[in-house]
Amino acid sequence: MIREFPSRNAFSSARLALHSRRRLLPMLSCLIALYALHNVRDAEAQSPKPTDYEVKAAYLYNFGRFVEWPPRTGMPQARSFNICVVGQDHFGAALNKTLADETIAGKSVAVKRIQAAQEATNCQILFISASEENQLKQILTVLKGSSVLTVSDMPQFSRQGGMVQFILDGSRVRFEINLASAERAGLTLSLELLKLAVNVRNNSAWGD
Amino acid sequence: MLRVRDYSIPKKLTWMNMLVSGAALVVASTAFATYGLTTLHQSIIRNLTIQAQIVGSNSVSALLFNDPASAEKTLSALKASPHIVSAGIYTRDGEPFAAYGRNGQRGVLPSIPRVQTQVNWFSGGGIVVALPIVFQDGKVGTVFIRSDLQEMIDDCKDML
Repeated sequence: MIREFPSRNAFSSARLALHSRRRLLPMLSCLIALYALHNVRDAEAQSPKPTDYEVKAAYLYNFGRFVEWPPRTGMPQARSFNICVVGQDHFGAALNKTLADETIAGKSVAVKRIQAAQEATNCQILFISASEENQLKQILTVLKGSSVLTVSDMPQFSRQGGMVQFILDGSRVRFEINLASAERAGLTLSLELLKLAVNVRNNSAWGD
Repeated sequence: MLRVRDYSIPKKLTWMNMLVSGAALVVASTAFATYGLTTLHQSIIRNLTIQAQIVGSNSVSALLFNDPASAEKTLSALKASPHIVSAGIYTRDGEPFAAYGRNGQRGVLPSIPRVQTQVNWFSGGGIVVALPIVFQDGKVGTVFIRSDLQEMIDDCKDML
């Protein structure tokens, strides 16, 4: 291929055009940046730091976006995506507030407070309150065979066969995953979710 | 002093030819140089946009689960591209979330506009590309990448 070699004059005029453009663009970007900075400061002043349970509520919603549930064979498709809480509810209004008007996989998210694990078979995500620590084994036995993502902040939850356990790392909420439990329930956890877990376990519940 | 009118007609014709040819050469060279620089500029922006999209889509979960360390790990993959000076990820509200600097320099993230669509601009002797990080039809943050102009400068040197 023949390549044209422009003269020095031609090149300097091209540089001149580039130079005048370079002066205009930084000025414009500076103005836009100042405007953005002003808005960012306003936003910072308005939003206080969220509480642990507000963060956990947002995480429950995000789990729904990174987990795939198997299709419900022989059963009618649920109209809503149910996030349930069993036991003492520490979320208060945070859960309903965070999940209001949200959708997961095209279904509107519904929050349900349930009394017993038997009611959880229609739930996609079940948050088991730490108050249920003594009944954990029974709850997990009841849920065996159903595709419910179990989440809790009770200690040793994932070790005992729970799927996602919240952990406090300083002031940050993080989580641990028991992949074997999730896979046994037919759930597919996104790699994006696994890479953020503090720890990914592969042990079975109570050695079964 | 010899005036133009004193030149012989053949000499005048020669000069006229030279002037016209010279002007044509200047116009053609300018056009080629401008075309070359514009094409290169577009190609740099296209490459930066692709890299920003890759980094952005790999940082979605880090943004949603507030894990800046994971986002920084994703950004650090940009070290494979020697022209990228700095990069950063912002939250949906425009707050700095994670940063990357070439050679381990970690400067303060610049303020960027709350972009809805892709933008690019010249800034501080480099090209900046910023685009929104979108997940399931919603904006979850913004990614920006700044490249130096070394590639353009090298190309200009080649032209000369």
